[in-house]
Amino acid sequence: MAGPSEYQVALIIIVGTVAMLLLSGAIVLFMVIYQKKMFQEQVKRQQLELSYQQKLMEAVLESQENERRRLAGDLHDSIGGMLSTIRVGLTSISRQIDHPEMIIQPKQMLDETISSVRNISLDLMPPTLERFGLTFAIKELCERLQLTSKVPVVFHEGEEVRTLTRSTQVMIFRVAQELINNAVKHSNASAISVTLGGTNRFELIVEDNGSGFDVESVRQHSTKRNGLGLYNIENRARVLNATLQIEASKKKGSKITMTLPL
Amino acid sequence: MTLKHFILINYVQLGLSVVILLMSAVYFRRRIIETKVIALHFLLAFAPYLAIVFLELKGKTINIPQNIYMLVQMFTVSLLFAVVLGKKYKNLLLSLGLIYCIFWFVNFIFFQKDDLNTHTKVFGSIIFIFYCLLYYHKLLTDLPIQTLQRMPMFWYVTSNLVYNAGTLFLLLFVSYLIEVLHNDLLIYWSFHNILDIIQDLLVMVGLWQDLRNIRLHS
Repeated sequence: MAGPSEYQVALIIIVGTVAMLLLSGAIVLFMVIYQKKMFQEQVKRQQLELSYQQKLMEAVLESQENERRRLAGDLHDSIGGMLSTIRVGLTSISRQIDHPEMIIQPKQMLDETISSVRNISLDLMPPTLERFGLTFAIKELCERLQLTSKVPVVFHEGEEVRTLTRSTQVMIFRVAQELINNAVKHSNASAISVTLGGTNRFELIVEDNGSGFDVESVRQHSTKRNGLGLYNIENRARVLNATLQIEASKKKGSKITMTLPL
Repeated sequence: MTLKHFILINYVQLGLSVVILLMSAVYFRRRIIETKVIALHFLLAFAPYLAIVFLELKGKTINIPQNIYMLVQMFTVSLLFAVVLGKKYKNLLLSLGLIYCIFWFVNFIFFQKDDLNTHTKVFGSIIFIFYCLLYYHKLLTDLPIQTLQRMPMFWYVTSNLVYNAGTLFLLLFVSYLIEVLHNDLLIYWSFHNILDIIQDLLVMVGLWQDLRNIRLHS
């Protein structure tokens, strides 16, 4: 039996080659279109996950704030009230006994305890924040920290931003509290400056002339849960949709700016 | 199709290879590793060409350098895919490379000897097509970039797929055409060379994309 003629072979080659080229073209086209579609799906899924995580974070922070509010109320009204009653009792006892000087030391200790309870309660939820707003609360915080730490904490007041919601104000207050506390405790600064305000965008700037820090190493420690400060600040900024700019270098102090679009 | 046309196509093919080498030389140090391997692949392709010119002048058979080049080609293409596919496919690539080498030796020593080793070339084409599909599968699972056309490697792989898929049927019938029908293959091999030119053009698009990426990041 004779094999295929040259014409038949040519036909097989042409048909086979065209089919293979079409197939490879189809594969490439499919790849380009399908990969793009899958990529967009993935981006959409990631955005959805991110928004879910943000909502979860908001809920966690909200419940944390509620718990703090409750604790602050209990400390102030219940324990604070009881301690004040004990103090009144001690004062009246000191008037009745022969050696009132014996009461002086316990009374001093009681005063310190009352002051500590008040400070803890203020830290947990300052009533100024609820009553007079963010600017007054941060101003009060600066004054209080200056008194306790003896480091001058200068507060620069910008325009009062009235458009911020209560929960946003609480969140910004927490960031400011963490930043100022960090500057007081860790920077060995001789001056700390806090600036607040803005018209088109809200800005919180905490600046010190202390020893500074290595941002990456602090961030690594934060993720290892050794120090949650920066981790918490960044989380709150993320929830607020704010940007956090950290300018810090060793021995040159630090400047941290949180910007919130209004 | 005259011999003149055939030689002209050959010169175009050679010219494009030179252009590819020149394009890869631009910002060579900053090029991605895939581009460097592609440059090596095209550089090594000149060796059989020079050997063929030399052997033609001496009046000897010209197929042996081409046959040896098939081994080199398998090495460079496998290296290219090993770079992009990663360690996960290392054993697969090694096994396929080893099987190909055995196939090459057996065919070269016992079957097609100093004729053009088309059986080996067909087997190589099938392996290369498989590599391309493997790479595409990896792209679909990893989703590295939204626009694939921006990836140089996508163009290198596409050029490989188009060339190997297009020449597969031709290579399957080459020995039949020569041995049984005594065809001089001028038209058929010109078609092969045109596909080679298309492959070179696609590689050039990839090189241009790589250059574009370098400029964007600098």
